[in-house]
Amino acid sequence: MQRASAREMAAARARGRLRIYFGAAPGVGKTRAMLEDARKQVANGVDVVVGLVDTHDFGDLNSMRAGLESLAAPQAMRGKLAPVQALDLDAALARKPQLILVDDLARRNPEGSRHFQRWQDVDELLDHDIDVYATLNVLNIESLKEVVQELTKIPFRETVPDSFFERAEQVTLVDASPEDLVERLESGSVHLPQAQRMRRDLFRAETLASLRDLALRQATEHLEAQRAARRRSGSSSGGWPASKKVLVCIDHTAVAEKLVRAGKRLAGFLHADWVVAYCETSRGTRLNLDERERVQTCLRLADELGAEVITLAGYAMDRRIVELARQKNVGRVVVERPAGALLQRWRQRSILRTLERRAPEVDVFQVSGEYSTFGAEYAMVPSAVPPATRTRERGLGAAMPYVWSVAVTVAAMIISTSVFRDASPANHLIIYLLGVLFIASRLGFWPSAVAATLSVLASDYFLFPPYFSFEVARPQDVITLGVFLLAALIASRLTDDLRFQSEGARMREQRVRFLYEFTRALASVQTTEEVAAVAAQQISRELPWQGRLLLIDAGGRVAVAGTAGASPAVGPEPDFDIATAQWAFDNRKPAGWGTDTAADVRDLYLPVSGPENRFGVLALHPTVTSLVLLPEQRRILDTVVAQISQTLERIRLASEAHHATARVETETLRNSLLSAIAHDLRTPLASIVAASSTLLQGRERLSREQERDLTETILEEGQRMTKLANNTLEIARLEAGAVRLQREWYPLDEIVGTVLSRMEDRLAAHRIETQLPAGVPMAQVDLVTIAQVIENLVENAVKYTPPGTRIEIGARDETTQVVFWVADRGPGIAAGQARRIFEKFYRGPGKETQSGVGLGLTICRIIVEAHGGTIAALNRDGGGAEFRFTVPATEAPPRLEPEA
Amino acid sequence: MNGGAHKASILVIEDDAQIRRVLTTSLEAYGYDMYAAETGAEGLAIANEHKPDLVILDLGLPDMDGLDLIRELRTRASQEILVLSARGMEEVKVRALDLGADDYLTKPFGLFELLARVRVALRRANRDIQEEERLILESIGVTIDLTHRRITRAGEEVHLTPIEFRLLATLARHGGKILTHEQLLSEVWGQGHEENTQYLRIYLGGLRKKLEPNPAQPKALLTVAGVGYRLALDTFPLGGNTP
Repeated sequence: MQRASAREMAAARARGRLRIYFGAAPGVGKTRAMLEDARKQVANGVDVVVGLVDTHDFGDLNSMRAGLESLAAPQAMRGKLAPVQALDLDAALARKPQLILVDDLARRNPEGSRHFQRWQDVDELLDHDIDVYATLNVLNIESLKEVVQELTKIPFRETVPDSFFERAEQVTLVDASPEDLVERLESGSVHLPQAQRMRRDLFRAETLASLRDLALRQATEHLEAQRAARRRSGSSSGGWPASKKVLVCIDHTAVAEKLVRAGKRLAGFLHADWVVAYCETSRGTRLNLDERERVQTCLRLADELGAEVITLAGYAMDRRIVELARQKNVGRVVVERPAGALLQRWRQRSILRTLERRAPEVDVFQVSGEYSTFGAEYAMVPSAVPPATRTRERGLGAAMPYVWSVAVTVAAMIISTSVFRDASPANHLIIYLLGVLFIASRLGFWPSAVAATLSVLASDYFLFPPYFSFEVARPQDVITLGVFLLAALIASRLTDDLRFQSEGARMREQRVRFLYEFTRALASVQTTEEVAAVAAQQISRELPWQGRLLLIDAGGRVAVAGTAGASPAVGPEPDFDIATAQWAFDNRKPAGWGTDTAADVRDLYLPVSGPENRFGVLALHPTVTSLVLLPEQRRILDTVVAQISQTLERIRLASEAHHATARVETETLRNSLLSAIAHDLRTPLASIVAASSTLLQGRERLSREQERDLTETILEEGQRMTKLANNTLEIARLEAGAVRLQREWYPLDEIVGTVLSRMEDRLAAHRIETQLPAGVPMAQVDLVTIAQVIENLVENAVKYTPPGTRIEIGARDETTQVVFWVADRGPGIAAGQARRIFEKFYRGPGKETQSGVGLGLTICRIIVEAHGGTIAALNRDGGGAEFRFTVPATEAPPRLEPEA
Repeated sequence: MNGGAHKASILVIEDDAQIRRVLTTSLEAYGYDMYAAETGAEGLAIANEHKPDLVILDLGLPDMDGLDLIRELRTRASQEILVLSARGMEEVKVRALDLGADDYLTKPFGLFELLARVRVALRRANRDIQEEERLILESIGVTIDLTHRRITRAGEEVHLTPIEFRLLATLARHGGKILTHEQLLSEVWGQGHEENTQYLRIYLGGLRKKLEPNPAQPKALLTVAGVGYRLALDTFPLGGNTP
C-alpha cells in the first residue's frame, strides 16, 4: 500500500518521536504534566525548548515555563477575533533542539501561515528529527468529532486526524475526575477558549464523564494498536489473521463525510484496513464547485484517516461495487441508508439488492443520512478554495439550460403547428417528444423534464378540445397526455443516462489517451530539459492546468530557470510562488491549492522525487477552475508526477552510466598516452645522453667516422623527439578545438605542390609521381592543415617503403567532393589493421625501431573529419598501401573573370 | 664569402640561454661578428649602438612583444630581420612579415638551414634588386628581364599577362623573400584589394603553368601554406647566380 511505503520512507529518514499528553477536556492538567516531564528531561541533559505553551497567566505554570528555554516570543499574528498565536516553525527548525514542547495540537494557525493547523507544524518538526511533547483533548480527535458533537452540542472545527494521533510513540493519559474538573472550573483555574458556552455545555458532570470514557478508550486503543503492530512486525508468519477489509461507498452528497467517519470507527474496532470508494454517479460530471470540493475534502479526510481511496466511475454502479468488494477482500460494506429523492432511493436500493444477491457473505452497514444541523453547518474542514471561485456556476449560468428548454419547446410548438396543420394530435406530440429528447441529450434530465411538462401544457392548449384552454374535455385525452408525459420523462432519463455514459466513456478514454501519450512522449526524451518541455507542453495542452517542471539547482533550491524549454505555444509563464514550491520540495509533500499547506496560494505544487533522488517540483496553475477539483484530476496528476520522476530517474541513471564509461575511457586513454610518450621520450633521450657523453669523454679514441655516427644519432633522435612533441601538441590543439579552419578554394596542383616543394629534400630517395586532372579543379580546404595531412601521408610512405620505389600522389574532383590519395609500393597494411592505424599510438607491427609514435595518422583523421571528409587505408592491387581521403565541397567554387 | 670587405655582424635576441649559446657559437665559427641579447630592451640598445647587418629575433621574449620589437627595429635602421618562431603559428608569422620582418625560421632548425637563410638575408641586404637588369631562376631555367619586361624559359620567350608579370616582378624584386598575401595584393593590385586572395591564387597558378615544368612539384614559385608566396631565387647549395 502506498501509505505504508510512504511511512516507511519517513521512518527511514529518522523521524522524531511524538508524545501526546491526552485528556478528556481542558483543565485536566495536560500542560502541567508536560512541563513537569520536560523539566525532568532538562535535568537529564536533554536539549529542550518550549515551542509554544500557553500558560494563560496561571502563576505556577508561568514559573514552570520560565525555567525552560523558549523560542523567541511568538508574535501575535492577525486573527479574526483575537490575536492567534502560532508556533514559529522556521525558528524552531533553525534552533533544532532535541525536544520541543507544543501546546494544543488541534489549534488552527492564523491566516497566511504555512500550515493550516498546528499539528501539521508538529509533523514537520518530527520530519526533521525533532522530538515533540504535545497536548491534545479527546474532543479534537477527527473520527470522534460527531460523537463529541452529539455529546456536547458544541461544534468543534479544530480536529487532529486519527492517523497523526496513531503515529504518536506515546500517549500519556492525563486524568481527572469530573467532579474535580467542575471544581477547578469554578475556582477559575481552568482556561476556556469560548468560555461561556463551553462552561454551560461542556462542564456538566455527565458530559465530562462521557468524555473521560472516550479519552480512556482512545488511549487504550492506541496502546492496543501499538501492541498489535509490534506483534505483526515481530513475527510475519505469526497468527494475527488479516481481517477482511471495510468498504465505504460514498457519493457527492453531504452524508459522505459521516459515512467515512463511521467506516473509520468500524475499521478501527475490527483492526481492519479500509477502503473508501467514491461512486461517481450520473451527476458526477456536472457537480457544481461546492459539491466537487466536498467530494475532494471527503476523500482527503478518508486519506488522512488511513483509508485507501478509490474512484468508481461509469455505469452499473451496483455491480462495480460488488466487483470491488471481491477484488479487495472486503468483509463489510458501509453504505447510506436509502433516503432522498425517489430515483436516488431506487438507485441505493439497487446497490443493496445487488450486494445481497451477489455477495451474500458481505455484511452491509447502513448509515442514516439524517444529520444534525451542527453536522451540516460544521461538517467540513474549512475550504481551502478561495471564495472568489465559488460563485462562478451560480446565477445566469445555472438558469441557461431552462431557458433553452423553454426555447426548444416553443420551437417544437411552432414547427408542429406549421407542418401538421390538420393531422392528429399524436403527430404533433412526436415533434414535442423530439424537442424533449434533444434537451435531454444536451442538457440533462431536469431541463428536459421541464420541457416535457411545457410540451404537455402546450399540446393541451393547442391540440386537445376545448382548444386554447388548459381544460381537457375527453377522458382519453387525459390518458394520452399522461402517457406522453411519462414516456417523455422515461425517455429523458434514459437519454440522460446514455449521455452520461458516453461522456464518462469519453472522459475515461481521454484520460487513458493522455496518460498513454504522456508516457510515450517521455519515453523518448534524453535530457532533463526535454522532460521539462514535454511536461509543460502536454499538461498545458491536455489538462486544465498550466504546468511547469521546476528543477533544482546545485544548491537544492528550486529554480525557475529550470523551466527552460517551455515554448511559446504553452502560454505565458504563470507567476509561481517559489517559496511554496521550495517547501513542497523540501518536505516531499504537495502544497498549495487543495492541500493542507499554503492553501491560500492559487497554484498547486507537487514534489517530483524518485526512490533516492529528489528532482524538483511540478508547479501547476489552474486554467479551467471548474474542472481542477474533480477527484480524478489529482489522480491523473499523481500519475503524471510518477511518470516524470521515473523518466528523470532513468535519465539520471543513464547519464551516470555514461559518465562512468567516459571516465574509464578517459582514464585508459590517459594511461596509454602517458606510457607511449614516456617510452618514446625515454628511448631517444637514452641515445642522446649516451652518444653525447661518449663524444665528450672518449673523443680521442673515436675515429672520425664513429664521431660522425654518434653526432648523427644525436641529431636524429632530437628530430624524433621534436616530431613527437609537435604531433602531441598538434593533437591537443586539434582536439581542444583551438585550430580554426580557414577553408578557401585552392587549385589542386597548388595544394599538392605546397607539400612537395617543402618536402623536396626528404623525397630525394623516392620516385614521386603526381596524378592531377587537367584544367584548374579546386578544393575548398584549410591549406595549412590539409597540407599537413598530405605531408604526413607522404612521410609515412617514405618511412615504410624502400628507397627507389615509387610514391604516387594524386587528387580528383568529384563535384561534391575532392578525393586525395597517396599510394606506395611498400609492404602494405597488415590484415585487420586498416582501421586501427588511425587510432592514437598505434604503430605498425614489428616497427619498434621506426621513429615516432603513431600520431601522424591520428592527426590526419582528425583534420579530415574536421573538414567533413573521411579517410581510409587499403592495400593496392600488386602490392603497397594506399591512403585516400575526401574533402566535401560545401559550396560552388568561385568563378573568376579572366584578365582583360 | 659574403661578398663584402668587412665581416658581417649579426645580433641574436633570444631569451633561452642554450639556444643563444648554440647560435652565437655556430655562427661565429662561420666567420660572423656576433652580438647577443637576452631581452628586447637590451637588443634594441645593441642594435642602436652597433648597427648589425642582421637581427635574429625570437618572437617569444619575456619583456616585450616580439612584434613590437620588429616595429621598433624597422623605425631605426634597415637591417634584415630573421624571426624565429614555434611551429603552427602561421598567423604570427604573417604579422611579423607584414610588419617588416624579412624571413622566418621555425624551431627547431638545423645549422645548415640557418646558415642558408643568413646568407640569403645578408646578400639581400648588400644589393638592390630594383637596379638589377636580369634575374635567373636557375632551377627552372627562366630568365627575368625586369627593365625590358621580358621573360624567357629555356631561351624561348614566354608571354605573360600584365598582372602575371607584375606578380612575378614583385616576387623577384624582393629577392627570394616570403611575401604575405596582403603584401602581394597591395603591391600588384594596389591598395584596397588585400582581401582578394582568390585572384592571387589563380594568377599564381597561371604563372606556374607557364614557367614551371611540373606545376604540381614547383621548384621556383613556392607556396608557403598559411603565410604567402616566395620566389626561390637561390637553390641549395648556393651558387653565384648573379650575372
